[in-house]
Amino acid sequence: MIIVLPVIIWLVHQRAGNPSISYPPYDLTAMITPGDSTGSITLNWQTLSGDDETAVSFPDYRIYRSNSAEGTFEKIDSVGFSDFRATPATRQYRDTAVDPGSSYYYKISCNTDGGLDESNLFGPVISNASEVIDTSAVLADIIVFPASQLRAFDSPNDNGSSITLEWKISPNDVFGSLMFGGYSVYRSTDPDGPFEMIAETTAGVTDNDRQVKIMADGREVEDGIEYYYYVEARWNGQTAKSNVAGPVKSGQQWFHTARAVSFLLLSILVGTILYYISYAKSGKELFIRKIAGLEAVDEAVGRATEMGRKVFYIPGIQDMNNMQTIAGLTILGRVAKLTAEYDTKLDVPVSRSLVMVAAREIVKEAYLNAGRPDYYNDDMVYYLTDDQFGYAAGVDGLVIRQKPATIFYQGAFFAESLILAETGNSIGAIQIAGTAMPAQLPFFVAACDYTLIGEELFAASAYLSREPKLLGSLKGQDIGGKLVFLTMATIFIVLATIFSFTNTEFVDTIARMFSVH
Amino acid sequence: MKREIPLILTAVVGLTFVIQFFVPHEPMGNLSNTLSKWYSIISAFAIWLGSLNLLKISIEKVSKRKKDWMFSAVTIASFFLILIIGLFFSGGRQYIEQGSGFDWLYRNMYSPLSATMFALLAFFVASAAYRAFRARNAQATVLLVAAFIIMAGRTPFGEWISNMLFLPEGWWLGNLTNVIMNYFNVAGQRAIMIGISLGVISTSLRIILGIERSHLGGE
Amino acid sequence: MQNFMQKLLNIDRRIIFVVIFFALSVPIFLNMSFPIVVTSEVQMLYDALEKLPRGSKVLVACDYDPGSEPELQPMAEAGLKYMIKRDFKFIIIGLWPQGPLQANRAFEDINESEDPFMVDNGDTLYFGADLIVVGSDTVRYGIDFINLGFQVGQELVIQRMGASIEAAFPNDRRFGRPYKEFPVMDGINKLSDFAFIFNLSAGYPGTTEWVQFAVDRFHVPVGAGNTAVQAPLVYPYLDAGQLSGLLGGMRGGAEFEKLVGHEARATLAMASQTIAHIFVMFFIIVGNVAFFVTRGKSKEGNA
Repeated sequence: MIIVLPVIIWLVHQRAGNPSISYPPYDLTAMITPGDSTGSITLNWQTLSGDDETAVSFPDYRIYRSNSAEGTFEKIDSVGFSDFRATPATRQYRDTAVDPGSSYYYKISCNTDGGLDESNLFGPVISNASEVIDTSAVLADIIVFPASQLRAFDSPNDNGSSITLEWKISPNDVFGSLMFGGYSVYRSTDPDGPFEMIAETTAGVTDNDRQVKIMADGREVEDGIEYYYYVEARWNGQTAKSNVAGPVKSGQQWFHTARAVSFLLLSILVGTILYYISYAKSGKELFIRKIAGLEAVDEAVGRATEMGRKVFYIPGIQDMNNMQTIAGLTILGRVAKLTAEYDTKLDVPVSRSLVMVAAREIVKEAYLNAGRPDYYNDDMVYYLTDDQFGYAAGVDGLVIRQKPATIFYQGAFFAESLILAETGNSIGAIQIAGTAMPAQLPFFVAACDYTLIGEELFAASAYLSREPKLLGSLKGQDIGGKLVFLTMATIFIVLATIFSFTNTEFVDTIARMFSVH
Repeated sequence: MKREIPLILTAVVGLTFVIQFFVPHEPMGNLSNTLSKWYSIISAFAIWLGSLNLLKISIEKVSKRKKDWMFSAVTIASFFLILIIGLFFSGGRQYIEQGSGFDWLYRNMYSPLSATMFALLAFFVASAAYRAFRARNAQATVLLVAAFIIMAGRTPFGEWISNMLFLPEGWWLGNLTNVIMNYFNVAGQRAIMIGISLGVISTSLRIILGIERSHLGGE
Repeated sequence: MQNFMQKLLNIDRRIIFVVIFFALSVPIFLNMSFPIVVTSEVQMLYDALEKLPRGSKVLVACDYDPGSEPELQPMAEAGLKYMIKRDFKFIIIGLWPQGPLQANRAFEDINESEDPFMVDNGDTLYFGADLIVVGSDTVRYGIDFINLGFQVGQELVIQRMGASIEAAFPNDRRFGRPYKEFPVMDGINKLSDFAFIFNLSAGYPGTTEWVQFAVDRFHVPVGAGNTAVQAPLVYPYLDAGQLSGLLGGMRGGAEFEKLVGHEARATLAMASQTIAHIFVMFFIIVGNVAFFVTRGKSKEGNA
């Protein structure tokens, strides 16, 4: 199973992927120069590495043109060091020798040592003199280029009413540009318009790995209606439209495919736990190792009885929605039963109202089970405050004044852990702590006599009750969780290590596979 | 019945939450939002439960002159002071704005008191460190050395001492600190976190299935 | 000697407290300063912020209370100053009730204007609340920044924000008006519309929850400032790339102040911390010497 599982996970993961946006060498684009009545065509491309304002000897870019994709390309011009730079990362060339109505294909090349020689082929661009926006406008030195390869699709794994757009950013959208004003997103239900502006976004890419800008449109999107989109790049008072993407419809999905791997792993864990619960029910003996902190519970309560002092129980500072609080309260049941039997006073100051209610039920039930309901009263469990340090101050005060013989700290703790535990230590109380807050563990270990570390806290209920079903779930958690997961983790770690030398993309894929969505 | 209804409720709500994680389609899609609003409402009302209990116990202590009743008197006085000033003398909705009575109390009483409690940590860390960091055995010695490197490495003192000892740059205490924090510490934290997560999943499952009942007051 | 060592071993903790008190307080009055070296996790956060374009919308989640103010408030102030300088729009929220109040205090403390208020089109605008002046920049509430206040529900609030910010924070904090009325919120509907989340965290809910929900589910980068007690807990996320930088405790704050060029409270407090660390180390050495001397003796005694 351990061998097959990684393969299944791999296959499941492969189903959810993104079509990628292409980045050919040079990334050449050409378009009719906006605002130019002559119908000239402007080319834009990424500068090659080494081509900057100081590189005097960098070879020229040669511009080639043809009337058909397969036809012969003629060199029409070249662009070199002294020529105009659109931005630090892009170059621009305006082809004015064009006949309106003709279509053109372009490519460029550059002879660098060992560099890329030829660019992608871009075309056809049809020179169109009627593309006049404003003939009176003075043509800007630099032309703004649009976002390209705009793609619109139903946002995956959601409950509808959302369409995701992604596009390749404009060549003018260079990091740190003070001129580039971002993008405006337009939407319509008709490809011919009218389009309405629905959102504006900042410049730059959103996904650094794929170098694309991603935006989700959730503004009054109705499922089942066809939408069309385009994006406008804004640069220094000029704008440029991208391609129109669409039609696209939003919809709801029944299964969250990006969570398929999580689903698979959860199923295995739950399956194993259920299996071992039924295994334990059938009466098989299960071994559980000794947990010193839990063994010491009886002794600690006993000591308080001998000294005639109180037992304090602090169930953490979190609410009932925290698992640690619940785990802490299960131990409270056990402690309360002992204090009932020994007739020792128990104090449970809490910092959450709901915890107070739950703790009262537990303590009451424990006293009832111990046959001492008369010893119970509601005031054993009382609320102090929700405020973290207010609570710490309150408990410290109680500890100093009442000098309990034994203090339990079981639940979720934060920075107050050491403030509580050192105060308890200073009055010489026996202290048993338990928490799954890794940052607080060292403090408890330093100041308490016993500390339940992380999962020991969650195992406490099974350990103390010795109920087969609960013990079974512990075993299932160890087999299904630790054995299977850790073996798989080891397999993938080894694979990732090997491939990190040869195929880093594969390593990224592994990392993505296990990321939660 | 008193036991069964909570168990059934727990199972249904628990399973629904698990399902909605994997099913985005309505009616599951917005369910977590709706349920989280319910949770907000319940916890907002629960604040009263605690406050009233605090008042009840404090008033009882004061009226019966129980031991340490003065502390309870201070509690009652502070409770009503901030409540009344916050509700009636702080300009309604704008109660947190600069210059309101509530704001004054927040800045000049609540803030310094909270910060004082947190600041106690500095003193307690020192006394706990004094007791805990003793080279009793090999493991304790490792702990002691690591603590030393990090304490020195986290301050400019670490650079000074590294220079004094002519340590090569890779062995400067600051760099050793980073190595300890980024590798040894992270590895340990992760192992504990994985164990804890498994513990949480398994405990949740026991609660959803109704095997674990001690939090409801049962065995 | 032996007796003295035995006494030293069980020293009254109040003596330690007094020494630490002086170690912490004296450097503040002496105005001591130490050089600060920037660590990689702080540099990471700064680089992540530097990479954001001008006008980026940043969510500032203040999940702390006055208790952790000494550590986190300097980070909040340095962060806000930086964002104003970089022309970011910032939106304040808090998963802790006291968080948004702490943000208000930061607004006042970083405001450099001497005037209490100004009148604009008949509206009275208060400096430190409606307007913040930092150097040559002035930002205005509702246009450049906003405080949406606190919402109860811990990590569920983050989850709700993932679907709709409006569902989690319908009104702003200062005026109680619908958040759509404020231009700063244009284009912000969901959590994923933010370019970055700057989280200041002192516990739960905090950085762990932001990483689990905002980063893993909604793919918004999160950079965090944490108290020193809390920081080791989030280190694993840093290494896994889930956290885009971390300011840990006073030292992290001081390094961040150095990077953004606003050396203030954290930098000053570093001197105290350095001296206190030296004393704690001194105590540990003393404790160990005493421990070894008495242990050697008691072994002889036993033999």
